Amino acid sequence: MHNLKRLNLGWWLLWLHLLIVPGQVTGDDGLRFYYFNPDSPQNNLGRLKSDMESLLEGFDLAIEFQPFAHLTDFDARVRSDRPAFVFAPHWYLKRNADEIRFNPLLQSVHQQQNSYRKLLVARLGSDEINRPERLTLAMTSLGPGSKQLLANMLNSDGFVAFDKLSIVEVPKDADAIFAAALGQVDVALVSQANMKLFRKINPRLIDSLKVISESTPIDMPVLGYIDGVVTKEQAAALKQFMFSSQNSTVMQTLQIEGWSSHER
Amino acid sequence: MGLKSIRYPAGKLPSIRVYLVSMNLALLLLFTAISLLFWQQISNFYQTEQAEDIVSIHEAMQARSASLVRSMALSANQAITGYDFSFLINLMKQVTDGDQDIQYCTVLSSLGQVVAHNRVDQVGTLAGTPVDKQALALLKDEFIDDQVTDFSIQIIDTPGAVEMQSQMMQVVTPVFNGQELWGILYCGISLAGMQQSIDERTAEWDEEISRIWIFYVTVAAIFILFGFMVSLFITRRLLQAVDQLDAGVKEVSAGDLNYRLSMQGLMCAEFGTFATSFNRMTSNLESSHRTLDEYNRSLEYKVKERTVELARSNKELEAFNYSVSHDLRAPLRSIEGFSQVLSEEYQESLDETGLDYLRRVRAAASRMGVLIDDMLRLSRLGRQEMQVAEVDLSELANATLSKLAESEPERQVSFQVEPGLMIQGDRQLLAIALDNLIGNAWKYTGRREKAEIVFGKAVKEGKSCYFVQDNGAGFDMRYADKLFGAFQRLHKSSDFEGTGIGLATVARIIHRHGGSVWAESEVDAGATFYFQLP
Repeated sequence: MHNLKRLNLGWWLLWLHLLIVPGQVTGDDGLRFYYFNPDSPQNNLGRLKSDMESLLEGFDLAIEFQPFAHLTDFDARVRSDRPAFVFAPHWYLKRNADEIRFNPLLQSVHQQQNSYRKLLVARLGSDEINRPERLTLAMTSLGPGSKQLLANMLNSDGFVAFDKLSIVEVPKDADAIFAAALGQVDVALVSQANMKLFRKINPRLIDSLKVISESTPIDMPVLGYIDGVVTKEQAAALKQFMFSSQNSTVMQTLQIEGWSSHER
Repeated sequence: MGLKSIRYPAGKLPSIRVYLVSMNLALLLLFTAISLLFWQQISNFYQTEQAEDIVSIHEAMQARSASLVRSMALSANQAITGYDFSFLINLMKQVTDGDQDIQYCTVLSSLGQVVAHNRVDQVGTLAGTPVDKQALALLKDEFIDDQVTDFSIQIIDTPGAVEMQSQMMQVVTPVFNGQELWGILYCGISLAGMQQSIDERTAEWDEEISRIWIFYVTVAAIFILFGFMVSLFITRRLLQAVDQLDAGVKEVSAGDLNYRLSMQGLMCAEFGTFATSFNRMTSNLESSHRTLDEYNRSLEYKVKERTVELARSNKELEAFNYSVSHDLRAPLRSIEGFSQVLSEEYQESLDETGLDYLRRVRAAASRMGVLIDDMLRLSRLGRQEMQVAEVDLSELANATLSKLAESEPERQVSFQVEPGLMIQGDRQLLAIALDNLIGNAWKYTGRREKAEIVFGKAVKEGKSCYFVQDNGAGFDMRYADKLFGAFQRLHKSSDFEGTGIGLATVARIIHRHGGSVWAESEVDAGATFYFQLP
């Protein structure tokens, strides 16, 4: 009987519901901290939410942390809910900062760098890469104009015909690796960190891929606040708080090493 | 009832104890049988409930597992469509980590490649294990061949299919990419936990059955013990009452009509009624007995009175007989004497006629003398004191026959005497009786050339008796009742002389000994005289 209780269907359905539609559980009271980082090796958003909530319990203000898996969800909720704090890719904030009145506070640091690179990988033995007119590419979303952004990232050397490229947007960077390794797409644009991480986890999967090209440096995601939702003092307090938490375990969850000041 | 009591003596009938003990044993056996049947029904009911409980556990396990995998498949569909592999893998991992019964979760593409697995290192491998192949066969055989386009869940048992568990339940469901059957999702769920639940449930059932059994046995034992004690108490009281009645009946039947049954301890109304009726009957019996006793006593008194009167009358009669006989002797002697003188001294003075008359007078006087002697003898027999001793009848008979043979040696008489016939009686009187009986036989065979006389012992109507048998003239049985009367004769004096006092003498002697005498005969065919002594 107790085994059946462990298979509590309701609990699992609720859990799945939270993963699929995370935005619906944002609270009505308190400040919100929205997170979207598709290139992070951290795929477990539940654990991320839990760790961040634990961390933020030590902050003076009550903040509700909410990670997002999909850009569309994240973007829609940022615009509708106007969270106090936002952690998002640099390209997103660069494109939408004025519109959402975003002010940067901190930039994440990985391998002592404020930037990282992405790799264009293809599955070994795949013939499709030789037929660029039918090429499909998996990558995390870059929002509107992603092909141009992609072209900028890769400093196009003629290998990819971007105008004929069919881009498959995946929720996470790791999904691009899976999509390529499992033969669902021809090529994938994945971060170096994820490739490195997956080489440890599933070397067979990474060995089935070959790196075709490497992108230009891409800025690491940025943490900032929405002007008008919190005061500068509150934002400064959070910045100071996050700085002081660089040695906490939550940094491992965020898959970053630390913060660097990043103010406009 | 009387006939039954004769046919079936009370000693052969079973005791009431047998009936009561048999009844109690039968009730005990009946109760035990009913208890066993009742327990069997309870046991069957519990077994059925237990089996249904186990089935419901199975079904619940299957239903919940199927629902979980179905939900996972919905997410898998969405994840596959949206290339959200990391979510799918994470989902697999979370599901398996969160439930120790779920051993693995896998999403296989239609090409047999592991697309998602709770272990990330398994992603990208080709289906190789028997479980994978079995699941893949379902994809090819069931979901494709049967053109299953809707969501479908297949539940299969895979005993021994997975090394880590002896028995697994594998839930397989197709994964769609839009409308296209893209692959399958299957999860292996260990049945160990469920088996443990079943074992625990079974143990609970067993414990419950044991508890009920103990309760049932205890209650049954208490009931049986209580019933036994009540039965024992009632049976003992009943038997005591029956014994009390039985003792009373025996006491009364032994003759104690003063005995009365006590009403105490009779236990039931029927026994009380019986005792009352019995006591009433005994009272009536005692009253009747007392009346009968009084009647008997008055009867005895009357008999004694009559006996005394009779004895006195007999004595007076004997005295009268004796006096008459004795007094008659004197004139008779005068008649005899003077008639003799007359015949001797006045013979010439009388003519033939006178002499003839004189002879007749003398003969009559002589005969009268004999009669008087016999009457005196008969009279003496009644008055004579009896000297009882052992008497040898054979010896007496032989002596009489010898004496008769000597008196008439010319006669041819064969006689046969059974030797050793001993009897208790008065030797002198019995000798007179035998003299008369054998003398009669001698006399009435006087006209036989070869007379036969037998004295012996016989059995008549179950009683031992003695007899004297001859082949003489015999007599007509129509006059047998006159045989033993005094001076009664069945033959003419001219044929056989005699006074008619002999058999009367025999009868009186035998009667004085408390016996009886009778005769059987046919005319000219001889006669047999029997006498029986106590």
